[in-house]
Amino acid sequence: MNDTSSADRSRMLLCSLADLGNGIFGAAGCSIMRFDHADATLVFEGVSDGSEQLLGVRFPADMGIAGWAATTEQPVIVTDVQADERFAIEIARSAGYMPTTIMATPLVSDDEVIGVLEVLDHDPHAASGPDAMRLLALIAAHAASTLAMLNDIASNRDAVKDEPGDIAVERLRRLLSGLRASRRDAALALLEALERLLKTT
Amino acid sequence: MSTQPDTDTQPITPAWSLTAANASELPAAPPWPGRVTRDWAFGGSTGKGTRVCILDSGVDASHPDVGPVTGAFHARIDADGTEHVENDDAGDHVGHGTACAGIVRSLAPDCELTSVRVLDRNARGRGQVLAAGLRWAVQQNFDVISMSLSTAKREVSTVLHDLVDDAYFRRTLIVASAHNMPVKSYPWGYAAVISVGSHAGRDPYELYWNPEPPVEFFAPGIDVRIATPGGKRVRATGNSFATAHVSGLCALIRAKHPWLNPYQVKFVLQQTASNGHPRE
Repeated sequence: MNDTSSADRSRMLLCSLADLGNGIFGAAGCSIMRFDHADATLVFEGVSDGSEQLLGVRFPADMGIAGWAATTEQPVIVTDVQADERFAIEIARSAGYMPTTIMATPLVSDDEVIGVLEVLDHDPHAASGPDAMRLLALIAAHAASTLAMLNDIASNRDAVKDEPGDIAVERLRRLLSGLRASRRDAALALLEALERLLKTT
Repeated sequence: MSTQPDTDTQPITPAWSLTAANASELPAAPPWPGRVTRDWAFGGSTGKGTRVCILDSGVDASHPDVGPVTGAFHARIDADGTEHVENDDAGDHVGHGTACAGIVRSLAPDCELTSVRVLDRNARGRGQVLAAGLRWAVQQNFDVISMSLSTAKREVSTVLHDLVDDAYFRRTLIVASAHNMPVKSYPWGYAAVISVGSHAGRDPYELYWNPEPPVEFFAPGIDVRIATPGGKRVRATGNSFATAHVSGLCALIRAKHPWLNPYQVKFVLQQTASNGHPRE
């Protein structure tokens, strides 16, 4: 597995979680945003099916309903966002979709807001009012743990890139994983010979 | 103006004991009614004379639902950790503080509103900014500090605990949003705070008392009409808005009965709750 596929798998995991949220709420869309503290933005990292164009899109972390959740650390539901289009502009601009209702909740891990989970136009028959808040909290707890774990994996990967000794190991790992089985066996035999040589000198 | 972290917030000279002679000189509490009703608690009150602080994202004073804002301030922290609270003309581009201020105003039309902006896009350092804003607000001896927010930052939990205790002895009512997620956050769980969750009722004066705290009261917070900057309105759900309702009620109660201290106000809130007396 190389870096690209690892990042892809992270996004697949978050997208599947967004799909799950979307399905549970019978919603028009669900997204998981990561809080990038470096530039105080929220970044779409996981979106439900049909909203892939939002992946990687950033907007200021105090903007819109997601911004409310991120800054106040409180979940919120706004039921007629079209009365004030600035609430949904970050979604609308990127997706060409203007929701009526937005649910947003902070994702908290280790004392820190690490992201926001947002649900667009949920079916009120699926859940509403306090029930919707409870369900949102359950999904948010799952999303927060997942996002925190993926953040840890990404930081470890970045740390490996930054270590000169580990760069060589990483290059070797990539080379080996890209070889056919017969050539990989030959390469491993060569590596063992090199190891014996280095140990005896 | 700057604030100093550990000064000017300690209780006045402590009285550790009371002599028999002095006991008779202590002022007696005004009379309580046989049964505390809504009418006794806040009937006819408009909040006139009470000072309410909205600790939030700022307030749009031009919104017709908000009305005049007596003062607007912004809390910030220098790189060396010095706290500052300064005049603020940024309004409220997030919108949350305006929503809460509008609800307080709808219940207590004649109260005096002050905004202290502690929220912005930078989540890092926000715990310290929140503590700085709260410290300043406590030092101003507001009647009510409305906090429709919380922080998960453990590093400021002790500071916030000390500040809300200080506010309690200064007779300032701190009303704070409870969290409905499995996350430890502050300061709503502290006993000196009036902590608030939501119920789905429409009567803005209707409260429910919770016999199983830390959430102590439930107020209207489901599908509530709120003000948003630019003179607009939307409907929203969240404990933030329930909290603002209780802040408005506290302003009404304090205006009518200025002698009530925080634990007495909590008792009045409990008594005026829909489940505050045995069901008949």
